[in-house]
Amino acid sequence: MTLIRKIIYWLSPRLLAIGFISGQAVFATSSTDIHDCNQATTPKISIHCGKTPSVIFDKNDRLWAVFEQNQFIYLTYSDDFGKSYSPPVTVNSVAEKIYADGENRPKIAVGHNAEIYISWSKKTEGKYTGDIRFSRSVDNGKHFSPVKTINNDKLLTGHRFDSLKVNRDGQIFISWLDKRDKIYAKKSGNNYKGAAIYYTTSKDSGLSFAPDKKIADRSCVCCRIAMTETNDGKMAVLWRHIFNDKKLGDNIRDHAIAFIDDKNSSQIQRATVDNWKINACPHHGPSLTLGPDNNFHMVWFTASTDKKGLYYGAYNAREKTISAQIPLSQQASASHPYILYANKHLVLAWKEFDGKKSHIHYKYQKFNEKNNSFPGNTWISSKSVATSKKESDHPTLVASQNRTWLSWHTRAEGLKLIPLI
Amino acid sequence: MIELKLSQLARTLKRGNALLLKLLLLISGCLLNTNVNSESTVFNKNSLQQIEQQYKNQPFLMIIWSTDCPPCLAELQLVGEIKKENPKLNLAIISTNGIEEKAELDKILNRSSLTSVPSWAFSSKNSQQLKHSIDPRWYGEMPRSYFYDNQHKRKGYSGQLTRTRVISWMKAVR
Repeated sequence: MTLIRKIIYWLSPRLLAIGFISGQAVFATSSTDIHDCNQATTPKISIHCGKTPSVIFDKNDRLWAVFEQNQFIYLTYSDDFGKSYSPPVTVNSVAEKIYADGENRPKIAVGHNAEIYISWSKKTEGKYTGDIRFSRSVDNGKHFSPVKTINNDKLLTGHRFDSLKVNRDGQIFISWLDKRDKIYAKKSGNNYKGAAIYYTTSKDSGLSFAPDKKIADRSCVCCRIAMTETNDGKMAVLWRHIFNDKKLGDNIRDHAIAFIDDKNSSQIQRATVDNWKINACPHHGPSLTLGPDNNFHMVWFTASTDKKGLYYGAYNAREKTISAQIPLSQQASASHPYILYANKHLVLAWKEFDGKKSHIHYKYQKFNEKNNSFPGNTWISSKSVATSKKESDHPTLVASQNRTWLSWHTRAEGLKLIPLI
Repeated sequence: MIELKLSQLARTLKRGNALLLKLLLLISGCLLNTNVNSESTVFNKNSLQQIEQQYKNQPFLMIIWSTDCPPCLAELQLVGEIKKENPKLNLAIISTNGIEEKAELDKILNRSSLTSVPSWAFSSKNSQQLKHSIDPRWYGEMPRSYFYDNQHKRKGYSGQLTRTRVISWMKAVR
């Protein structure tokens, strides 16, 4: 045996052993899910195997779901409340990089004449850059229009974290976080804090959109925007803002609310007062719903000196006042709350992690029609309604004609639709 | 000449156990990124313990960041500068991005002059289990830092670090 062979002979088993150990470290996380997403030689396109789904029921209780998978947006539907789904239809005919994480996901809305509207944030060249993209279907989700870019500034900068809604008149509203003003400020030799909130509207079912309008400067740059319709057809927009407080200084990352229609945006108002001073990315946007009491019910995350965790509160737009801000959960693992009023119930859901499993908890209260109010801080139930040992998405709530459902996507189980109320 | 060198190598190899130990230390050093190696390695549920072991009886600054956090990038730049000025500063840099984004992560670290700093990336992007393994009381906001003293009592801090904060800590633990 030559000397070199001797060396190889001596080294091989030892290197193999080391390779095995390091290999285990890398591959120990591969998932085994119930939908065979990892089995096929070609990727299986499915709501369960894709990422970051958003769902909505139409007036016939068909559940429409949009999701991202391998640089495509897909649409699918279910007529049996999530037990089975139709074959996915591709929305964008050309692959493109798409933001698909908990705070930044494709959105879906249904128009008055059963139009399907979809928006998402496309990754463009560079860091934190993107464009807001839109496509629609007018044949019940069979085909989609060519994708168009919604933001009209033609700048290579951040246009991300889109939010999409349709109002009672069928008008489409899209709002997003926009960094064009940072570029303008830089050209003028000025600094610019955070991003801005911009929006646009469409009165012709998505054929055309109005020029972009700014709602406010100084939004936080990495939290989702919450948007819900007001009782006069406007949109209420809630986002994490960067307040500059006279006493506390800059970087107060509480929430602001504004009301928009196709012409104007209202002055912004402070919607939460936690005084969370931080120069960081919370990656934790709020959620918003309008109650029959005409209050805007909100849930959010904060980690200020004296308030840490998830909170619930209500904003009265007429009086511009905020109700008592009530802690939902102060567990450090409690995250990403969602709120929805539907079918006479106000429902809250959020995620917690116990060290081994993620749990979805929820609370609800019933609207008292006689008193025209909710029963204050009296909530029913707060239990784990779903669990997962693997990675999971943020929980969302969605309402059918008679029920409120939890929609939760997990790596192990795919999309779960669970009836709550 | 070559044969002479090879025979010398052969004699060295015959020392067997001692060399095997050295080899294992060298390779595990690479895996743990303790040497001059800019490559991010996988962070799993045992990694924090390994980092703490690696800096046993030494103060160190552990930084958690992600690519979708603009203040994180500014902080890495600052920490890179401080490291250049203070080569003995012990650092552990962990990204919550998945290890599959390693190329991008390493590029950012290199650009921030953090080429010889031990760095890790989550085995699974944004893994709640891994965040929990670092600190069950951490809410997930970033950048997040932990200042370890000699006895490894640590203080967590959320938000972008300032030069003053890092330098004050370095003086305090010196």
